[in-house]
Amino acid sequence: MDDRLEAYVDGELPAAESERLEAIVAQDAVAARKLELARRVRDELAAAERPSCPPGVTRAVLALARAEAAGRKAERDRAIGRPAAMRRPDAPAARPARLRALWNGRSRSAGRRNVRTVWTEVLRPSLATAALVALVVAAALIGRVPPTPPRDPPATAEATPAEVRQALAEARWALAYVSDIGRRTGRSIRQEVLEERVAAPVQRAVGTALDAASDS
Amino acid sequence: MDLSEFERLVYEHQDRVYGFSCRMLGSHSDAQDVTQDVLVRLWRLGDDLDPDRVLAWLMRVTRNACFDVLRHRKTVRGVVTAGADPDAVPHGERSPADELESDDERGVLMAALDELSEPYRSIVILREVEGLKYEEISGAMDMPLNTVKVYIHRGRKQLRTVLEERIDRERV
Repeated sequence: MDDRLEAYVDGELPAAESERLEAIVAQDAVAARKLELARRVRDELAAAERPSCPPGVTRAVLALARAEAAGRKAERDRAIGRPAAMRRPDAPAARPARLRALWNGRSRSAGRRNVRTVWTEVLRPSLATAALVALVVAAALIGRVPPTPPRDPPATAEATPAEVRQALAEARWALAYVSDIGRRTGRSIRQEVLEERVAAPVQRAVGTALDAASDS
Repeated sequence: MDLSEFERLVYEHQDRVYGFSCRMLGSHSDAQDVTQDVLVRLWRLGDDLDPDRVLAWLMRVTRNACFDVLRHRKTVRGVVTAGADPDAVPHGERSPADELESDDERGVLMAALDELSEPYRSIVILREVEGLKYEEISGAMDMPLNTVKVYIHRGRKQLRTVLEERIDRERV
């Protein structure tokens, strides 16, 4: 009965049941009193004071959202390589319509899709175009005939006999130094590598083989 | 969600979020903190939210945030036993005790509403004070529609009983 009464007050009771309840209420004083109280409860609660959100809260929330939106926009501008001088935070129309449509996805997954779409539809074709232009320019530069160098080298001053002697002496010293280094290197290689690791083992092996042959 | 859409949602729902928080917490400053927190979360959630379920989401998050504040208060009161919170009762509003002593029928009902156990209290506030539809309450409370109806009817019946007792006392 109570649930039907509350449903009736809410207007949720089907028409047939509403008529039955109204008939009961018309004859039953207790039911009529319950219905009256149910209506009073509902009306009083509906008329209760509902405080408004203070403007300071609204301002703080919107200011934070605006700041974050500006930050997001700056990040997007950086992502598409837009120069800072071209960025205008309050001028969305300045952005190419195609990019704007791609970036204005309605969900995070759409956002991820949009990043891929920006790459496949905008950045990749742009890079391909740039590479093609670079190739054409390079081919044009290669095809150009370079300026003919002068056939006669510029005249140089002749060396004096003293300078020639000095140069020959330096060359001899350099050759002697290189020869000495080579000799020392060859000696150390012979002693450390050939004699110890090749000649000596071979000598031992041959000796052992000869001994074995003579024993048999 | 772009900024203009967010602004529209803020102006559309902020009073409900704030009013519900005030009723649940009995404190303007706590209600302001909760409202700000909830709306910022709405902004940051952005496009992940179904536009048709914004109100239900808001009220569910608001209710949970209010419970967090109430739990924190219980903890603080367990530690700090001396001194009264000057902001515990909203300016211009009466405490449940004041309302119970009041001759005002509405005051009595609001005090009785504050004494209801959960989830009756939240559901009756959402329905009768904030004026949400059954479907919206169902989404906010994450409950089947019929369960919501049962809670509303039983919650109102408890309030009706309080009102009836008061009227009977007056007669005596």
